[in-house]
Amino acid sequence: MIVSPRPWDADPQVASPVGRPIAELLERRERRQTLPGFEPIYSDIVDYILRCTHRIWEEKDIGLCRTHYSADCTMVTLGGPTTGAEEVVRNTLVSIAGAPDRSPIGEDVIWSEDAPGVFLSSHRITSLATFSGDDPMLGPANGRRRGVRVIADCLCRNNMIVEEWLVRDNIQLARENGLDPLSLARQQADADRIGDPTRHDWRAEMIERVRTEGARRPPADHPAAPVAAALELAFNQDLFGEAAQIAALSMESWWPSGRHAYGRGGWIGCLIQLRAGLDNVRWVLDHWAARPLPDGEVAVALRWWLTGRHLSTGQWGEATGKEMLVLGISHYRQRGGQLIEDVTVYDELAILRQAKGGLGA
Amino acid sequence: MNLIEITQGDPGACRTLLHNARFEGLGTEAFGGTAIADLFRLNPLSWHGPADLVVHNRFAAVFGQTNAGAAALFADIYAGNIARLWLLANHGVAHAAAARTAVPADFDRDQRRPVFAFEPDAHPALAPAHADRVARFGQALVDGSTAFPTAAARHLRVRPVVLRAFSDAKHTAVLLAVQSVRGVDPGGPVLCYAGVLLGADERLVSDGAGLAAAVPSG
Repeated sequence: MIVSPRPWDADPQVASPVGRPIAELLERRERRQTLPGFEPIYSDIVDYILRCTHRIWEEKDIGLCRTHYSADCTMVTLGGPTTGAEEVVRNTLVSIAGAPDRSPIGEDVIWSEDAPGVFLSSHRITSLATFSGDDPMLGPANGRRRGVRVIADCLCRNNMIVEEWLVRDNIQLARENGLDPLSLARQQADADRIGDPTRHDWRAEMIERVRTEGARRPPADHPAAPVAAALELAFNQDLFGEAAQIAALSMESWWPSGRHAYGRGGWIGCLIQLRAGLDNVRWVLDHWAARPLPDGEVAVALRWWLTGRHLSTGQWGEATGKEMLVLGISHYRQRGGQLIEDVTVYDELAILRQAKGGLGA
Repeated sequence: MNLIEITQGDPGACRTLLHNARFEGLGTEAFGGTAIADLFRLNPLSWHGPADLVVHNRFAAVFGQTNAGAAALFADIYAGNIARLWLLANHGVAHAAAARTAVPADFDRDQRRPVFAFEPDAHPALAPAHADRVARFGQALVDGSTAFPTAAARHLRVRPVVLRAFSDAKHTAVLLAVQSVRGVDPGGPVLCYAGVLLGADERLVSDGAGLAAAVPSG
């Protein structure tokens, strides 16, 4: 696994998109970062992510997926991985057919250059769409315009995304569209039990990896190090109060399924709610990145996995004893070394789906 | 900064809303400059009388009167563009936000006398001379010596968190997220916003529409 050998604040000319109007972000400009093998239209890695998203989703040049995803790319979601650029084309077409005016509105792109010409970008989006067509998850057209928070981590080289990890707040999306998440999870779990069960083997393999692999930590001088250490304290040692020492008293937390909380107590509440449903939890860090923000603030992105046994009755229903898997991506804003904002996304609908016996659980 | 004009749906003023601006108020929320502008075009606010404006290069706030009573509007600003807006007013819209998963939380983590959680250093735009006033005002809310939101509909265990605090030459504006427990049976935790204007006098404006829309949970 590649882990950020380049300084986190290298290439200061590649500015954060935070606080900048979309017209300015999509203005054409000269190349200002070394991007070997990337199309000349892209000036830097932030521009690559924002502009190719705009070209594919808004300009409807979906075929660009074939030049922006490798033929053998892997798309990892908690609902299961898919492989290949043609699968990306197919899923994008279906998604746009259901909501043609889908507007993936970027909120931040936090990136690292992990080896020369190899970039990891963590792209936070609120995707606004009118469901004027049928959608595989949401069902028949309902005419509602709704938004959903998404974070896409993309490993990019030579103009191609070669691996992507995607998390979406599916429970809130379901609620916003008038669906009951529990019923939806049951339906998905029922469908998962039909057909070849080996298609779910990836989940057990991933749980095994999370259980057995050693801890991965950012270098001590990286801005991601304190928050990564805090999450280890919280999830692996249950020391939530100690973990929250890095949070500003005014911290704001956005967690999945519409959770919104303030202060250290609110942050601890989010952490404990996830932890309390599971026993024998193991949390591991998968990737980290950081970039400067305006006014001396710092943006940090962490991608992480968590596994644990569902032994407590609570938010996901009756305890099932099943081993559960969670893929999470968190974006933090730091000021003066303190966390002032946490935007965390994981697919809690896929957790419910596991609790109901789906995804091979 | 044409904050009031934004709440009237003025197209020119709404052009300062960033494409990814976020709005909370009117008992609902909206994401994106277009959606926020649409919300105000459908639900314009009518302000009257003099308004107090507090402007910093990263933040702005306006305190005034609308047809439904005292109101305040807070904004996060990047180079003249608005990234976030909070409207604290008694106006509500029929379309409330979708249900959310509540976050049960302990805001004290201590059984001793509760202390107003405030770090002046975390708010670099706050005039140092006003930090003590902010601290005193917040502690009075926590102690209950200042009623929240009003004397008539009192909330208990009021725990304000300072989200923004900034000053100009005349005033300091403070945006609070206020966690409290309804002072009626059944109680239950409630979260809403409030604004404080500190100048020659002190003014507290709570988000009445947010309080009305809040569902006790936890």
